[in-house]
Amino acid sequence: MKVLTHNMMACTKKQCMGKGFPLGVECTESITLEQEFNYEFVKNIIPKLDWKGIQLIGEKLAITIPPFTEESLLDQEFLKSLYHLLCNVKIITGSLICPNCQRVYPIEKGIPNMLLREDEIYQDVRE
Amino acid sequence: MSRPEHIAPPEIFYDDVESKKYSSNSRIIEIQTKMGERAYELLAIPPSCEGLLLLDIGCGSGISGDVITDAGHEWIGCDISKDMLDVALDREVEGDVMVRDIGQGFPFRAGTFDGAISISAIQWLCNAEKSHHNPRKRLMVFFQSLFNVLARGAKAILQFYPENAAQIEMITTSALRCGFSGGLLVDFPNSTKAKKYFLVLFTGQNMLMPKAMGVDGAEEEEEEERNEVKNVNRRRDRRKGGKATIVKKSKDWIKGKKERQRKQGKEVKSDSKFTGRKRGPRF
Repeated sequence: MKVLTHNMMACTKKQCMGKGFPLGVECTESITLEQEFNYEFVKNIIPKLDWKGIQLIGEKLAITIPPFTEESLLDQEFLKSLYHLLCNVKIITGSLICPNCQRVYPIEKGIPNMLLREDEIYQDVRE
Repeated sequence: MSRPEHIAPPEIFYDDVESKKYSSNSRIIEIQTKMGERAYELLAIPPSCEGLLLLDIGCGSGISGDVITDAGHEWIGCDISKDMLDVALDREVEGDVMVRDIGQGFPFRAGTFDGAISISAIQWLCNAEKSHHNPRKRLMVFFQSLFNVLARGAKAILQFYPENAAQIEMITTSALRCGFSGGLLVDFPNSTKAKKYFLVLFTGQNMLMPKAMGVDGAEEEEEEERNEVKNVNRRRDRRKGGKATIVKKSKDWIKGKKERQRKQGKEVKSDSKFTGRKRGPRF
């Protein structure tokens, strides 16, 4: 699973609507890919990113991204390192944890398993 | 046509063996790629626009995803069959994949994707695979969640194989009830084989429906008229007791047949002055 996907994901159990992100990460194995830098993509994706999630996963993987400011858009180095983190770092084994309901989603062979159990689908909101 | 939906639930039907079979069959790959390309075309992303993030619903082994990669975009795919996704990893697809039942919605933040495509997946939602499944409810959850994860002004193109008119009705009404605008587009409606159903959905308002392949608006009307005329003629003929038929193998008959096949999307040689002409006498 790429960091990009992690950044877009959220726990969508009923009681976590709007609160199920950023997902916590436990990473035991990760690899680095070599995709070419794509300026258009970074430009398009920046408004959609959740910077809290970037910081969180950056800490876990020991890759630091400087905080985002207005000037960052013009900073090639910043965009390149952001792209590298988003698209070239892939988590192979580990798990995702919902910050709200603490549900653990396992990641195996690079594929997160987001299937919900029967009792989790029709759960009513308990507050 | 065989219906895998009737044999077993998707996560069981597409097991290790079936997934490999599916993804190495050149005919299936060709059909899937063609439909993927058509779906991408219907998304109507301007050619200058690159680097968007798209969603592939029921991505399987990532054949349709390759189309997106070739167009220069990133994609994330969902599928319920783990074995299919393993094949996708073996094929080293560029997009990212995850195991998820689309009837449970999508595990993404709101407004994430710039568009979505789906090839031959949503007809699975019409079947209740488990005792707690309710197809209507699952379709509603699916479309609501899809509406949420798409950015405003985004499109979703969902190709599917409906079993009957009731399924089309159920799928389309669920989609429209969840806030989408758009409708059903049928390519090659006159053919049984090349006929393909696409559900074209917009999250914004006032968008134009794309044109279907294999039909022309004007031609369609003309045809309807012709049908009416034909019916009238037939009735009159019956009253007279006779039958106005075209002689088989005649020029008109050959031209008529070629026209029919052309409408079905088949490859037909163009008409020339030799079409249906009598051969000279044999020595």
